[in-house]
Amino acid sequence: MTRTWSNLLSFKRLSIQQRLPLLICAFLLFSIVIYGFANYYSLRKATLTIGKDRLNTVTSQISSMLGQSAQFMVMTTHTAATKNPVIQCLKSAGKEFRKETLEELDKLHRDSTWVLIELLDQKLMPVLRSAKSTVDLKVNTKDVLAFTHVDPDSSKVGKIYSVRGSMYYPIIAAVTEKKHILGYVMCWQLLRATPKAVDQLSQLMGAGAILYIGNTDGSLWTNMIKPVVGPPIKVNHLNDLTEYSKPDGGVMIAKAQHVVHTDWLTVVEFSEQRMMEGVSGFMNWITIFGVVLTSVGIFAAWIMSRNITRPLNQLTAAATAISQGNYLLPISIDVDRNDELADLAHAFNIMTVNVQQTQQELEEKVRERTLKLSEEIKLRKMSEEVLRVSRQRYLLLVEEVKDYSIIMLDANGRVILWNKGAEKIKGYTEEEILGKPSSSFFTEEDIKSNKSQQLLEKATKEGRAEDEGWRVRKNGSKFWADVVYTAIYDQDKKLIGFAKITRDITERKKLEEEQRVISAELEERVKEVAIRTLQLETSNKELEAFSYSVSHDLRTPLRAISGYSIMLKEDYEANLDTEGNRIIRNIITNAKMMGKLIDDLLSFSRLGKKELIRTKVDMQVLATNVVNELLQNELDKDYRINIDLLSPAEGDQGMIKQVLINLVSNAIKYSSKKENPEIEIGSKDEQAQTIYYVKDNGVGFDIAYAGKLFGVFERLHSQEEFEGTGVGLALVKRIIDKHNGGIWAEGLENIGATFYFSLPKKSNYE
Amino acid sequence: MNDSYVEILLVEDNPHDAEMTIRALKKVNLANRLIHVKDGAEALDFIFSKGTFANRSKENKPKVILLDIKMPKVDGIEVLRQIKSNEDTKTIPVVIMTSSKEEQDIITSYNLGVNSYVVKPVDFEGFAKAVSELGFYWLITNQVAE
Repeated sequence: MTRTWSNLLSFKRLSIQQRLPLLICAFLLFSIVIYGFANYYSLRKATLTIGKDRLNTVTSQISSMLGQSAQFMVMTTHTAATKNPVIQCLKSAGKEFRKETLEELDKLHRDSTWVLIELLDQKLMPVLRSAKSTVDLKVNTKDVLAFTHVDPDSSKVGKIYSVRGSMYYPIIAAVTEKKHILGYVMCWQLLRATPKAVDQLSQLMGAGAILYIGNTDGSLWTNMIKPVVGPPIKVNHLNDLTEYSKPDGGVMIAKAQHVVHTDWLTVVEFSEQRMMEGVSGFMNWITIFGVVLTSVGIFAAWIMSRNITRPLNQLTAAATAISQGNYLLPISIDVDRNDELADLAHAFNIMTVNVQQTQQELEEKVRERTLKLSEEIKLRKMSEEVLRVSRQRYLLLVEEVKDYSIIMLDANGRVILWNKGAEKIKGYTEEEILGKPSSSFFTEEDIKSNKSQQLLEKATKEGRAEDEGWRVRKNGSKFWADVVYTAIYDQDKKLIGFAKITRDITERKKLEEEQRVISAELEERVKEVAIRTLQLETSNKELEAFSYSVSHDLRTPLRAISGYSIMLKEDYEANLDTEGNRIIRNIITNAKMMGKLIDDLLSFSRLGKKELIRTKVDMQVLATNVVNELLQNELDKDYRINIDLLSPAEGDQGMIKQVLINLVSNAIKYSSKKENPEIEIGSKDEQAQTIYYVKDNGVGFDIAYAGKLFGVFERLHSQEEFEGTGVGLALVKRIIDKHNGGIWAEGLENIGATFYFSLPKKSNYE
Repeated sequence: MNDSYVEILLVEDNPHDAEMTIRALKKVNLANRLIHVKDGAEALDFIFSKGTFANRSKENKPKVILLDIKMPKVDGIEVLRQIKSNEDTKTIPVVIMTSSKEEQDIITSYNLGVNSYVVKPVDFEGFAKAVSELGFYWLITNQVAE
């Protein structure tokens, strides 16, 4: 008793974390045990009922099966017994019809199990015998018929007899004439089943079922293979189930049933243990399930209780820390949950913070107060000394400042303090000015408008006044001053005077004035430039429109002239004389010429609009390509063209190619009349630029006209001498100008010409 | 001329240019099924079977259109735009004929999907050659494609 109480008490002493899993464990165990047992008993009952039903069914089925086969044997034997020869044979006490009767008996040997067939007379003495084997059945026929009563005109299967380990049974049919028994046909059959067949039958009946066949008087039991010890069946209560224990301890349930047409019983025996196998299996599962469920439950409960108690422990630790006065530690509890505990932790956290803050504020205030008090004492001591020193320093400083006029005025605006700066700027010595009004430095106009007084009033009212304007020196000259007035009050806020600081900014004023004039001029110029740009843009657009118009509209009639002249030539050449044909040819040539002129002029004007795209240009490759292209049109003359190693250039590839095309084609054109035309292309590297040249040994030119070479439509040769529009070199110059390069030429009449152009190197063209 | 089956549609406002073009095509036997319209509006009427050409079957699409750019009323660029934005007509090859190499005209017509262009040189022989070659080329390729 005491022990139980102490156990209970100790359970109360356990922590929540331990108690909760224990409780849940107990609850789960209890539930599972109750559930398991309740299920076990109902299942067991149901299984037993099903088993018994099955036993009944199986037994009656087996019995009826045996009955059917007995009926067949009985019918066969009975048929033989009713045959006429058999009757006559018996009537003649075996003297007549022996042969025919034996034939009938022989027919009954259906298979090897029919071992012996006898014909007996009324005294049961054998009359005839048909034996298929040598088996010697020493069974007393009288005993057989004493037990098995066979009515007239009927037949029956008798008891099973064991003879030397084998089992035999008789099928007895009464040979009857007019309800009077003359004798019997008795067929002995071997009862023998193979173990395999028995096993199959047992499986058919259900696992663990055993079939017994026995005589109704209990004299022999067999399992259809050999005689065995029979089940303890009460023969008088065949309808009941019999329960009994085997010597090996197994409890059996059995059912017996009489087999019709025989003196046999069938007994089917079920092992209760085998029947209950399913139930035991269920019990095992329940046990395993219970163990697993309990373990999982305990684990879950442990996790849950830990989850609940952890924050509680934290809370306890934090509360303990605070209760020990440890306010300043950063105490807080993790709130990563969303339940009542979280609310508690949250509230606790807020409380902790509040307590911490209050504590800190209190300590801070005390510290501040202490500091202030000690500083105040220190300050008071120092301030008197500081005041004295600073006053002295200040006075010295003010007096010595030379670039600023610093003066003090009394409340009425009279000078009471004068520094060296004031003397330098305004020209008065201290002795001259002390006591004079501050208006002494103002211009006539300012004095008239009482400006001095206005500024003092403003300073009085607002504490400060600023002014910028002309002031007058002692010698009458003017200076531009920047002035600041500051009102000075005593401790009772009563005005005692003004500090007035003046700066001479005449120089700055002059500079500003000059700058203003320059800016105005600049603005004017910018405006002019903008107007000019606009005008230029307009004229540029007009030019574009003009060039478009030239290219379309000027060419159209020209095309017509050219076209119709050609048509005229094609269609009427034969009708015209030589002069007519010459004129037509000239029209065609000139129209072509004008077309080319327009094209050249257009590309020349288009060049003005085009943007430069600067890249690195391989002049060697470019010059080689240009020469090859141009020479394709000059197959009838052998030109020697020598291209030196050319330095690469920086510029617009397309434009520079145009330059080379124009210069080289000029060189070809103007040397075409020489016998051995020679052209040389080369380059010279200089520091800031590269000079390229194209030299020929052609007709050259008079150096006096060199200036005309690069003008538009300017030509030094007639059209008859050399064809040309006079645009090519102008175009070259324009391209080189766009590259910030230079172009020039050297030449001697009939000796040759050299055209140079220079292109700045990369760093120099911008 | 029977306008039911046309191979070349020439759109040209300048009668002299038109005459020269037709002459050039005649020389290479390509002017048999040519129709000449005098401005863009008429060209659109022909192509889309409207106005004076309302009775023309739309199925008979020209094999190639030679189109002048600068024309009164509806210019060549607009005609090109309408041809190339219509599902039925956008497959007809269009050759733009222009008096100059003005880059803007060429860029615009290429953006609109022109198939080729020819600059009318003052030199009539060159022009005639260019036109006949282009006409021939487009007629041939178009026939092969069909």
